[in-house]
Amino acid sequence: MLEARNITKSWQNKAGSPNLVLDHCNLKLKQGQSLGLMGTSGSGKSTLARILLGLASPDIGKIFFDGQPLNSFNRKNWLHFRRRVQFISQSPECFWEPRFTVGKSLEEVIKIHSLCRKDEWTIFIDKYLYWVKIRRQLLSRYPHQLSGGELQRLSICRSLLLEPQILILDEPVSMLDVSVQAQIMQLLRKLKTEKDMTYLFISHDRTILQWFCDETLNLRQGKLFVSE
Amino acid sequence: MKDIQITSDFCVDHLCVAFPNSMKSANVLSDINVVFRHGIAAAVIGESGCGKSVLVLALLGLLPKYASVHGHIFYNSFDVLSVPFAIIQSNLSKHWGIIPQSPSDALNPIRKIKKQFDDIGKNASRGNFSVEELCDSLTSLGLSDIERILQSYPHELSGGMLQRILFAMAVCCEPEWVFADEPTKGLDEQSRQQVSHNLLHLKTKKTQSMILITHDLPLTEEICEVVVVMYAGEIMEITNSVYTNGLHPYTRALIAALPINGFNPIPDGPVKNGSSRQCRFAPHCAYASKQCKHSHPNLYSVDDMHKVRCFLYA
Amino acid sequence: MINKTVFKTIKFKLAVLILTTIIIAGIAAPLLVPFNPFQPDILHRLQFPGATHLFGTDSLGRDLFSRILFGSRYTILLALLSSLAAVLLGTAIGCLAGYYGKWPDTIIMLLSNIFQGIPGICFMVAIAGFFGPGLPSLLTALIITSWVDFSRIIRTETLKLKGEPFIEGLICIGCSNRRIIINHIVPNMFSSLLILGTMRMSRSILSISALSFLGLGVQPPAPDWSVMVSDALVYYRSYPHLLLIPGGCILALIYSLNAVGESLREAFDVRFNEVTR
Repeated sequence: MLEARNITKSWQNKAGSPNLVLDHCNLKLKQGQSLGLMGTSGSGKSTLARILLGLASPDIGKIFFDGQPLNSFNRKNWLHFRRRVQFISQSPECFWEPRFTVGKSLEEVIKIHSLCRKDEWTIFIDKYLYWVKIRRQLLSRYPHQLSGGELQRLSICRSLLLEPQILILDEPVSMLDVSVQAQIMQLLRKLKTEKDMTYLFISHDRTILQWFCDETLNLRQGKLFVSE
Repeated sequence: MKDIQITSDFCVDHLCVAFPNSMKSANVLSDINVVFRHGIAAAVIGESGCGKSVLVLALLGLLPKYASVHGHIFYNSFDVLSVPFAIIQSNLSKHWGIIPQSPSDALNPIRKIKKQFDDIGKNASRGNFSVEELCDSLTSLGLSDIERILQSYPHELSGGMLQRILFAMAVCCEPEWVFADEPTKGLDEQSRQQVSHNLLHLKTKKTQSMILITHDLPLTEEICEVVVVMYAGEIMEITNSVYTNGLHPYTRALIAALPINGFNPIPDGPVKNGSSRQCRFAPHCAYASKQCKHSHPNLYSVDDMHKVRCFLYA
Repeated sequence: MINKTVFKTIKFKLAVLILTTIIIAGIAAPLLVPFNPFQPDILHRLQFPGATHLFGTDSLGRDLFSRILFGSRYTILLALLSSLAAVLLGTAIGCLAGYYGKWPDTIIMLLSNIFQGIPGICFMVAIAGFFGPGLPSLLTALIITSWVDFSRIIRTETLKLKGEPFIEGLICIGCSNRRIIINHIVPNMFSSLLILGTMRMSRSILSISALSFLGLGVQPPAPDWSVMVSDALVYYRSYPHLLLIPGGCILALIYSLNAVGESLREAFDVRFNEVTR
């Protein structure tokens, strides 16, 4: 479904010499798979995620979605791509528009993709809130009034509204407490079995990846290795 | 406390803190009684929002003015909560070293490292540090090429280096206590081991007395002699080790939630804050009985160093 | 969210009081004036403040009090119009440059560097001279010289906001660029826009005054405050009230605008600190 071919990316550092972050990386996400991506901090795993999402462009190489390269997309293709591929970031506190209540941010998603009629919004959202076990009352709060765990569950809820096929998770639990981590991980596992979701799970924690993923890739010095 | 000794222990006595501005003016901390002994490394663990950071702010006399505070914290001959802040600054601050959470934000970006060390020296009315002194403390933390580091600006150094510099800064005035706020949060395995190694180094070579705020249970096991488990503004358990000697259902639930143990989440339940009629953990507790729902448990002593707030051990 | 204690200070209350008085005076001027501000009355020229003429009369015998009341209309309307236009233009250009980067940014930055290199007042005098004195050329001159500062600040703010994860989050849920700029970036800069706008207003008033004083701005017999100052030049040694009263009005207006702007900044800064902490 989502495939990265020959991705190379480098940053210009202070001295002017390019610093190779990703070196001819190839990656293929298959339907129903949970692929883990492991690497130390600064190894470029977040960069790879951003390139896969089309938020950054690689120096060399292309990303293919259903066989079509991302850089040939028009507005309609992009909208379709955004519906199918969703992203969860590592810092839920910064992932929400600070001026909106979280409820309004959720409605924004429905508006952009015109998912349902205006009088059905509440029922529509409720259906997904049930999945992430968030009470309706919390929707009238602002992001800074909610805890990291609640926001991360709401981020997952926001993605689910679009019924995506692929979730790209960038360290979704590394900033959370132990007990909250457990809740989120169980939720993600439940979604995997019940919604047949495809995951790309980025983390630095081997134990989490072993628990969650079928296959793990290791990113070292810009190259991807298959680890057992 | 029965007898107030003039020691470098932190004696927290019936501490209650509330923030009247917060949405429901619930107690952030209610009736905290604990002694942090000098010479012992202690950890405060609990999920975010349980009041562990507020407890440490209170210890340092840094609570915001609008907080309503009851109780006492005795340190040396002072009551940290009632002494004016200027006195804390002039008399007590140099006894305390603080390791902040994110190394890249904690240093002044436009001052060289050496200058920043000197600033600390001046504040502790100790004067500038000689390069040899700094060399000693930085090499012992595993840094090399000290001369260059001291003449660098923070952005020229890597995160790991900055972290070690901050460790060195925290102990450069030989403080009685070291405080660290979530030193391993969000770090990868390699950096985490480095931090824990550095903390261990501080503990064995420099300052034994430490208070760590963390939710990294393995770290507490490696470093601390005392672990204070907090939940919803209360101390649930004071023990020497959560792994081998954790008795409270909450402590055990935390351990079960660790990745190696398969992410068993703490069951959801209505969050009730502030009502003192029941055990605050009861809605989530697998062992909750009728008694837990109708009366509030005290901190029961299991043995000298071990206290549990649970009826199972009454 | 907002530090409300700022709004309880005497500075802020005084400023708001002055500002509302001036605005109400401007709006209700036709109802309040005791005399026609344009009607000369040579018999009663150059009178000192007294019972019939509250602020006295000027060299043509026109009632100073009535002229001051009407003058507030000109001054405030001009300042409001010019700063509003400058804010809109600057925001639009700054957002485009900051959000899209690449070549639009290069071109806009080049242009604004050129504009910033030209000393403001000279440029204004040149434009006013070129188009001939009058209100349209005055407004053009003010807008052309002031959008640059705005667009620079807005561009940096946009760049900062664009790097925020929540904007990336919005892109990921399929939000279009236009929607992001209009619904998310501009509203998040609203507090800075408000502050910059009030500060800008006080500066425009000074520029208008300077130009009118030079005879390039508002034309007599319009009762603009700065025109009145420039009229008083010949007589101010013997009749200082002709200079002091309109001058004092300009001073009070500028003071109150600056004070409001400053208070707003303090109020919003605290909110910013709280959120980031």
